[in-house]
Amino acid sequence: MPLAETLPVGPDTAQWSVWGTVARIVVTDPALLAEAAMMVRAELSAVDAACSRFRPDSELSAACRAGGRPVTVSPLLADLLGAALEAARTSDGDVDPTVGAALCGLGYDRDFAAITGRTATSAVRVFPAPDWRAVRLDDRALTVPHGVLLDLGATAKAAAADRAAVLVADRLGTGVLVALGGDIATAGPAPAGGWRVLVQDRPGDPRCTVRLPGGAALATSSTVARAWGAPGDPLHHILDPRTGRPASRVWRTVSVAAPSCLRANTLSTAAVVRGHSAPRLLAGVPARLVTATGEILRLGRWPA
Amino acid sequence: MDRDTGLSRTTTITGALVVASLSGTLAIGLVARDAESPGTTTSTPTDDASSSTGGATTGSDTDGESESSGSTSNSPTLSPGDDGSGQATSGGS
Repeated sequence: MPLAETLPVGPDTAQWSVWGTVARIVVTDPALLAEAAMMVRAELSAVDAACSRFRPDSELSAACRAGGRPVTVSPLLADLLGAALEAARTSDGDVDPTVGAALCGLGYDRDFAAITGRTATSAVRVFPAPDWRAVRLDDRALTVPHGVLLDLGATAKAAAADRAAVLVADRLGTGVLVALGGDIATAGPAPAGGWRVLVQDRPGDPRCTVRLPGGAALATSSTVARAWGAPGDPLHHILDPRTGRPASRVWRTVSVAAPSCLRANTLSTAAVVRGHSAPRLLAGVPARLVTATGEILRLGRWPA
Repeated sequence: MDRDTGLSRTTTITGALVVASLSGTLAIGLVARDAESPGTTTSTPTDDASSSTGGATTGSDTDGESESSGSTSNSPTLSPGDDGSGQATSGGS
């Protein structure tokens, strides 16, 4: 089940469904809300057309069908791919865009709403990801190795939040918070006291509220959201690229604050993949980790 | 004499190998224990703040991490908010 957004929608807030989750924007100047929402919708639509792996007409799908030949991509897709490859590099391969085939092999081969309740076949489940370094991006020339299916889901949503927030703040001059599911980016001036963010995975899970300064971002990765599979063999969408299987459920939820949503998402996703060694990865970074049994670990001066 | 010397050398080499093996095992064990330091967590039922005010929270700000990482230099500073409220929710999507 995707994020359940239960907070009220006030005059400074717009909210709608996108990518199987909830998009929500909040502005410091409510008079600019409609225009801001229109800009964010347009940006998300452009991102979807560029890099959805569920759309055969997306630029990304076309590049993956090119049989290993280089194709020229739009500046937007080049930016999103650059973000994905940077995430792979900085996470030492824990956040890997080449897991697309593995996800499909596990049954996540269409919009998540369409796979809820499906069971996957155990016999076809071992798809270690190809090496992300085999993907070449030279300026706008993209080469995807033959047979490799890219999935930018882990980073494109976060990068889209960053892009949309900066776009609104720069063009309209208002402070803005853009939330795409668990990924939150802010830009421009924050409200007095900062942006208030409720951090909670599923209803009934441990929760807290933190205040973000303007320009800060926060991302949450979960091993219980976007989960499917058979009883006794549940699957979730964060794969360990080295095995092609969902990462071990050492952590139920990992939330990280960082200067950008892309960085926050990279760290929260990598922390899930790393399991017990996640605290080392997150050393010094404001983070909140919830174990499979609901215990909470706070790092990097995450407020109590 | 040669046989005794050979046996002595064999015993010495075997002993050295045993010591090296035990040292390696001990080192791996220490690293593994350190990597599993999340054991310092504290159970929290439904609300982070409630456990904190109860004095039971043992977050790892001081006991589970190094603040010497360069990643702290540009990390945002968070402050606590009113519990249960917010302008947006960050959860698994």
